[in-house]
Amino acid sequence: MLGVGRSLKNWRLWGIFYALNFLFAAVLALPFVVIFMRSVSKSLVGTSLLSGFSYRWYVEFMHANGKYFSSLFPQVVLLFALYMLVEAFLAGGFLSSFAAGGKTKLTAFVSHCASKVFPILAVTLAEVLILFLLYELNTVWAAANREAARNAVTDYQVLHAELWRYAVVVIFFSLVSIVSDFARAAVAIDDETFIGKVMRGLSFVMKHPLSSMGVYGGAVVFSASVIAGWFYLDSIIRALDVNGVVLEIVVGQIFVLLRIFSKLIFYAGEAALYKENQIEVIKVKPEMLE
Amino acid sequence: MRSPLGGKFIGSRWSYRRRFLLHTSVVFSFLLFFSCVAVARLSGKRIANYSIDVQLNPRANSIDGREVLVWHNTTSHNAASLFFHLDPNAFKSDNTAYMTGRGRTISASACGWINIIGIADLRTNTDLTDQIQYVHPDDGDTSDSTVMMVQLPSPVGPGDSIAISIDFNEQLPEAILGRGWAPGSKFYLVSKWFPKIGVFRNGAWNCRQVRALSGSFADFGAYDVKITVPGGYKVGATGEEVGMSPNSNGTLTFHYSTDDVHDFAWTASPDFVSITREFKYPGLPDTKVLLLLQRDHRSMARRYLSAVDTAMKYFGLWYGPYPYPVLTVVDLPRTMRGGRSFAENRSEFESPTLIAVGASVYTLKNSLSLEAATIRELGYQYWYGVVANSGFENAWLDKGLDLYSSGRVLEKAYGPRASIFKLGGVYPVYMQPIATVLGVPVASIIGKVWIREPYEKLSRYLRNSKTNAISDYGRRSPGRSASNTLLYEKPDLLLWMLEGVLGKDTMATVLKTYFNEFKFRHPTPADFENECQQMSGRNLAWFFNQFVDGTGTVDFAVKSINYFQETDLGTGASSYYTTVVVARNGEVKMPVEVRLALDDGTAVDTLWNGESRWQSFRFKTSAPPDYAVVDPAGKIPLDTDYSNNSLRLHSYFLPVLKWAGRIFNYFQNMLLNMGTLV
Repeated sequence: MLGVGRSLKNWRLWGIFYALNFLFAAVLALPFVVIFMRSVSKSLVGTSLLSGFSYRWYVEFMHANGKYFSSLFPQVVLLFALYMLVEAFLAGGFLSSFAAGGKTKLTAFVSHCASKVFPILAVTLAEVLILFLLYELNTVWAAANREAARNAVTDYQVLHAELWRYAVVVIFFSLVSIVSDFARAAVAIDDETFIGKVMRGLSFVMKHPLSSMGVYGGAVVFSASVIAGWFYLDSIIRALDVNGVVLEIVVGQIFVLLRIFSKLIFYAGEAALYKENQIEVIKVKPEMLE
Repeated sequence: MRSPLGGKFIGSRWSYRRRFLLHTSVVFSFLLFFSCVAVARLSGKRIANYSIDVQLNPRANSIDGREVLVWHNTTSHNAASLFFHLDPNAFKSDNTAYMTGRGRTISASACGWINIIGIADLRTNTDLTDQIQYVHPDDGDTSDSTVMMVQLPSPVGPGDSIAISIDFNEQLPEAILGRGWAPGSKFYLVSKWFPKIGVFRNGAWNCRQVRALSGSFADFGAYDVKITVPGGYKVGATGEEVGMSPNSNGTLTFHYSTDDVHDFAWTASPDFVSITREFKYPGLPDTKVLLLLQRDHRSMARRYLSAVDTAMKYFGLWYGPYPYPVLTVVDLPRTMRGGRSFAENRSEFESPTLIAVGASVYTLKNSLSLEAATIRELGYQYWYGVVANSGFENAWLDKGLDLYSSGRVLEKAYGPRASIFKLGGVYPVYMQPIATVLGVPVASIIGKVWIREPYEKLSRYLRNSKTNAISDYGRRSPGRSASNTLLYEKPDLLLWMLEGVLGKDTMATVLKTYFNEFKFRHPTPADFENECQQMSGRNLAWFFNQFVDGTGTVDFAVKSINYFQETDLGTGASSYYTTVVVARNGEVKMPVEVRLALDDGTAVDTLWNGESRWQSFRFKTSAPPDYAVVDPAGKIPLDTDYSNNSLRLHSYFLPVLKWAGRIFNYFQNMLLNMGTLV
């Protein structure tokens, strides 16, 4: 709840996050929308697409433009990577601002961002590398399962072997994510060496498993509720006329804002929890030894 | 020790067994010969009639068999030799044309082959074993042993018959294309297993090597088969079970008999759950349906039987009654199922009166994939089992007819397939249940996007639209995907297009007449074309020349639409003169409808012969135009660009806004998803 309060107080930060997301999404969507517009605006296919979906058009459209879309793949990956870098840049500011409590001025936010960007990136890079390693291990495991499943007589046997893999992947993925998140909090709130950051994140999660999982779990539950709500609303909106289309777009943007809110709540909750349980690091001066 | 075919013998006991079988076979063969001659007399024009005794040896996954064939030469030419299919040799090693064509490898323990132990002419009681030669009519590959030729001491004259006895031993392959033995379970599906005589036509044998994607081609006849299996095994087979007797050594012998079939397959397992029921529908003959289920698939019995009922009803009503008294449906174990994905239903195998389907318990009922697989296999009973065009030269015809007609049945019985699960409210997706309680999925994972079946075919066709003609059979095409397109997707789509050209009712009449006229015969594509022309009263050479024998693509487009208004100053009434330019971007020339839709909701139609590259049409109307469209009813599913079929006078941006918003929103969410890592 502390996270919700701190997040609500800093509503301007929502705007920054939303603007970032909007800008990147607009650049990414532009080539697709232009091609789509050329294909549909003067064709009767548009009518089918307004009232539902035209699989025939979709198949032919993808066939005609598939190579072009594939050629955009490197640029799309680059933009996604850039987006993650910018988000890493902002993460330090979010965490520091929320840890400080109260309303954060934009200048202070930018200063926090700038001062924490490299350590945060280092933690994120470490996380990505560990996740990549996990991914590789998972691939090996999946291949071994496939091999073992070749002679499985029933579908149940295959599924049971696969469920073990799924379970282990979910547990490790969650653990790495939680530790990394609290390591970032450690970076933003404390000044630590790189190894120290990761260890601080790990030790914090070990010391406060329930509360740290609680923050994590709370964010997951909130996000899942938002997604479920959006799925429900999306299924009942009839975007068949101007009003319906505008309503669908508005609901889509509210959904994005809520997802951003849930992310900021997570940052705020994480920062608040870390701050509350922070171990005071007192630098020992020579004169204090006396 | 090596077999004459290059495969491994199971043991040295074969040399003894061969002598024993050769000596004793003479006595038994005479008895069988006379019984077969009696069968053949009864069978009238049945050309290839078999009497076979076969024993399953589960320990070695092998069978021992003795076959007596009575073959009638119904042609006006002498047959100086006989040609036989030895299909099991296609699985002899990795290097056979079949295995390389499918891009598959096979381990030594999984190989299958057939050894001919002895062959004799029962007319003269002559041992012909030394006359065996392996021939390679298609590719000259001397390592291929899927076709056997036997030189006769004296030819079989026109109208004469010959009885041949063949002793053989066969190593069954491990689970390949729904046949052989299933690893991990005592399950056998034995198909294309016995030496089967080719088709003698115009003084030559049509007996082709086994290649990837090649179908079968054989004459109709009567089959009388005795299958001996260990005690406790259950058996299903082509035809009707006419008896079962226990033997003194604890084995069981099942006796099957049937007429007017061109192949025989059987299955055996001690683990089958067998369900028998009678298909009954007013106006159609009763049929006994035997369902042989795997134990872990008990819950799927109702779906299987419902699909069988649906197929038998509609195929029966539309084309003609199912002509056999029995149908056996075999549910394959997981290790026999192609792909072996744990959430996939696949149709796998068909033989006259017997079909096999690979089912998965992890598919939702609403996917209808099990129903589709079963109905498709039953369709093959009509378009491969009863109307039997050559599965080698004209494989596209029976496959196309099956896909088209089973698609019609699916549409009629279940409506357009749809999923209740949709992504973004639009894309239906396959949901694969990973946990169920009382059959209700409580946890599922999202599978691939559901593109409705006809469009999935279109997608595959578009990828391979620039390849051979379908009449130039598939295996000559570059790659497996192109072969599949030529054998499955394009034939199916062109038959849907033929329906668009002829009309639904005429198409139904064509297929009904074609079925009844060519029942138990070997029609060619020319026969089908003639049937279409006769029933519709139209010359359809342009259709078959371009779509079956040609490689051109179809793409009609509206290039421009312009108009001007003229007002009668006296009456004040306005007239609108609209010019519509339509173009033929593809190579195929065919008549196509052109429609001009007006602002007041009315429309003016005209027909363009599609001969020239473009054509201008001028319309005078009392209301301003709204849009122009070629092929307004969507009768040309092979048209490669649907979006250019129509052109609006004014752009319509609402759909663009809707989808631009969605695309933009998808990217926003994807970015947020990626951002969860930070």
